[in-house]
Amino acid sequence: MAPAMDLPDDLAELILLRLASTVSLIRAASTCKQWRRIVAAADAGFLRPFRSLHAPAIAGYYYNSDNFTSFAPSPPAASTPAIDDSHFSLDFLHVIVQDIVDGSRPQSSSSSWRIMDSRGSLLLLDFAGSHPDDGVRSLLVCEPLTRRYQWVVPPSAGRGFGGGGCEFSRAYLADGAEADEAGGRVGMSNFRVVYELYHHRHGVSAAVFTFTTGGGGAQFSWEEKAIGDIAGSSSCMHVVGHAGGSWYLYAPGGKPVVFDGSTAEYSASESELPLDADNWLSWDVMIFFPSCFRVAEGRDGHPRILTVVPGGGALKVFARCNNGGGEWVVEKMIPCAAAMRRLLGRPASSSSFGQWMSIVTTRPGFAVVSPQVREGRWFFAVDLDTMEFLPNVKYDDGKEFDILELYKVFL
Amino acid sequence: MAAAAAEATIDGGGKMIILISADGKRFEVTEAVASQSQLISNMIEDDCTENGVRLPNVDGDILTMVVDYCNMHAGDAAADGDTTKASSTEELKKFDAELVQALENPVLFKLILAANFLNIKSLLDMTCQRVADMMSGKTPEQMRETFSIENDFTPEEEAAIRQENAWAFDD
Repeated sequence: MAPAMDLPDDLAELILLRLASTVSLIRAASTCKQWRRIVAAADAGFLRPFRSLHAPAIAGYYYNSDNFTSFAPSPPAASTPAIDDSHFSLDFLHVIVQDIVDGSRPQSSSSSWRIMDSRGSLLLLDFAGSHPDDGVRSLLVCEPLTRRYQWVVPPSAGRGFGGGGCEFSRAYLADGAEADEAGGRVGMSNFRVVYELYHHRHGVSAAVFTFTTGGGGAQFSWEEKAIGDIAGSSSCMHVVGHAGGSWYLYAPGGKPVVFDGSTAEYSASESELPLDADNWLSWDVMIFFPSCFRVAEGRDGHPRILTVVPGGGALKVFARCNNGGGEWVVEKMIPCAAAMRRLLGRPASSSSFGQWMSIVTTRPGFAVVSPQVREGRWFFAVDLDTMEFLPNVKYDDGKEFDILELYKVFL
Repeated sequence: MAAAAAEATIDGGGKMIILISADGKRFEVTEAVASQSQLISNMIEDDCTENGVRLPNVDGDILTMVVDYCNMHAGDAAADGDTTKASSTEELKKFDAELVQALENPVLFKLILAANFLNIKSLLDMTCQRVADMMSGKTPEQMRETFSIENDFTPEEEAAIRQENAWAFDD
């Protein structure tokens, strides 16, 4: 066979840059030495432009369920060859547990793993068995597709930072502090994990774990940072949900706080969420009912805060002005009770039906709500743009909507 | 080919120049048509096209395609404000799509080399994209077959590569 692929490197590179997906690129790089050499060029000479030309493709969503974590693949884009679901399995974590956790207490229960966050192709996991005293715990960052993982071990794990006396609230996965050599900000060789801690005496603080594998091998560092000015002095913050790579929190007094996963920084809104005159619950009370107060991602990629109007049969939608970067304002009110009654064929006279309801889960562009009634459970998907209702929706695989958060992973 | 040359004359575009392929075939085109090649455009500027432009890297059958392409696209740059442009844009798209669809290796690669040598960016973009599109969704084996690529990895190397990114290799 004549080696007909006798294009010089610069032309072969032009072709490889135009490949539609990372999967195709990986396959092309394994056809012959020339293509592999081009893709693996020093200083990421190829990968950097390739990444700047190709937005990462969504592989699918993980969620925590009763028996371990589950994965729901995204419908593959036409340009991306399908990847077998088995590659997204987290079964390889069983082995890790046996390796790492104290051998005297073999851990066989896989349900001890919980996903805390996702970013890029990575997941942040918490293993319940690894911190019996429930202090500040070790977490695991892993890349399911390549089955690589890295433990994140806090200094004096279990007793806390800054002299002890602090509790672990939660943790987030954030982009690396610097772009890696290929221009990537998050990957197994470049990421940060931010621990949110609550000190009995000093309020809320954060500790940032930074991991890189630069020229000199793996390096990591810990850095504590005060965020009390953002969180308020006395209490911990509540998670309202995540959207578009950021986490949305609530600090007492009606102030939304954002944790930006790309910068690993917190920021607080200047102003409080506007409260209705007829809303007799304050936000500080509402926040204790996650089914009334959640963040969803709009179809435009910007976040929305959804609240249930207590007893009012409606959803109130807040959006940030200035294209998702400014203060929170009421975007719209979605009347729900009448629509739910109509879809279930209830007479309009049964006026109490649907006045009380809960937000069960959200997906980009829509929310799933359920009327709080004794006679049964119904789920309705509400399109946040068109305000249209779909009756009796099921989750992808027919499971019920007890899934609060979806963790998006990219190829 | 004759038709293409005739069209070029009708088009106007002034002075004619002769392109000569590696195997001695001669193509008469207007300067405007030929100038889409940055290489020839530079030669026109330098006044060295008098005795025809010899293109020792480009075979006649490939140059036929290049000349057809340039004739079709000659209006591109000049036609700003032309009221007929909308319809001709449609036509061009169709022409390009048909040209590129019909191309298979090794002609496609020869055309890429020619577009690169002559420095015709739009043609280079289009042909490289065609190769990339043809690779999409194929396994490494199918890519090798489609483009007659020799597998120069040792079995051990290949196994190691596949191991590294097993998830990308479901056939």
